[in-house]
Amino acid sequence: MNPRIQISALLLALSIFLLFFTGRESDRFRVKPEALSQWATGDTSAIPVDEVARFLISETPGILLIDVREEAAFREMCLPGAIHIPLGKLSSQGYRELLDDRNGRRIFYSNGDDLSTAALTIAAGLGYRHCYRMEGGLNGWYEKIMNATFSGERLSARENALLTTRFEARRLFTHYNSLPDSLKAGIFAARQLEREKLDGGCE
Amino acid sequence: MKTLGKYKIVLLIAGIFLVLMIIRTAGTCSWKGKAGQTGEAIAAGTCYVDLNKLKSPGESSHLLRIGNSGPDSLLKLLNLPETRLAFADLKPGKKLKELKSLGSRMVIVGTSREEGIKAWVILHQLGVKNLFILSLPDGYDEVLKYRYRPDSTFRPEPEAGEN
Repeated sequence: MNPRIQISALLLALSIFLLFFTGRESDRFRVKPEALSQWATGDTSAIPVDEVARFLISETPGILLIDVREEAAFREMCLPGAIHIPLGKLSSQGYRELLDDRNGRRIFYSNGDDLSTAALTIAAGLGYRHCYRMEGGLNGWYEKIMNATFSGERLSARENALLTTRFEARRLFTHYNSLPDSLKAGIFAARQLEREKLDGGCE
Repeated sequence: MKTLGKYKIVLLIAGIFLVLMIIRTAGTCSWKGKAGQTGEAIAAGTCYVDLNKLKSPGESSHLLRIGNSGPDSLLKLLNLPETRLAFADLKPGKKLKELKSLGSRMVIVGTSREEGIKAWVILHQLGVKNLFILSLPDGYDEVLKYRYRPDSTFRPEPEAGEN
């Protein structure tokens, strides 16, 4: 056989081998089991609901909220600005760039802690850093933000700041979810305008 | 042989590529499961087992206690065989081989829900079959306990320049 054909066949076989391994890797964990066990032991990726509320109010750059519930639940109600990634699709190539972004924080949430913890563990296994979860999920959000009340006579400066954030987050959440999908993106622009008006930046 | 000698550089490069790929994949080939399937199983809730199911006769169960989870009074009554595991044990090795050879239904009990979920995901990915998480008496955590009430009167502010 012609040596050129032999070499071409060898390179083709090598390409197929590489393709096979690349394809297998896309849906499999990429970190070593020892590293994942170590991560699981010292995991400190839970972010309190109040901190997430503060991120939303201040529109902290680099924060991406990821809803891992079913699509119907997400469509009915979600945290402002959140995107939806079903748990079974976290390993998809399409989300790789989004989840692997080293310049921001990705915060998973669900109704409770189970799905978000699973999402976080899968993300850690896939080698995505800078991933977190909202502690308590939407149940925790309702308990602390939506049902926030003030009872008592005096309010310390710290409590005042906390309650102000909670009330503002509640308002944002209700308004965001009361809008049709097409108008949801505009709510942040509207908030910006409102801030400018309060600062006297607009006529 | 003479012909191969002509192409020895090409063969050398191909060989290096092959070795590098094998080294790269060798560290992670312990993972047997697919991440997508693991996620789907948790989302569907098929990874949970009820305490009542453990009580019923039929399939034998084996408890996997993760971390320092103490003996729960209800579980103690069931008198099931159990293995204590630390997260450091969740890797290929003797313990994993023992688990795979058990043959009975394995039920994870963690100090917290989060520990149980993490251990389930890792063990499931390591290829442990017939693995479940004990569903706690306080119910499934992923049920939204509150009802969302939209504010139908809300409209966003018109943008500057709009009427």
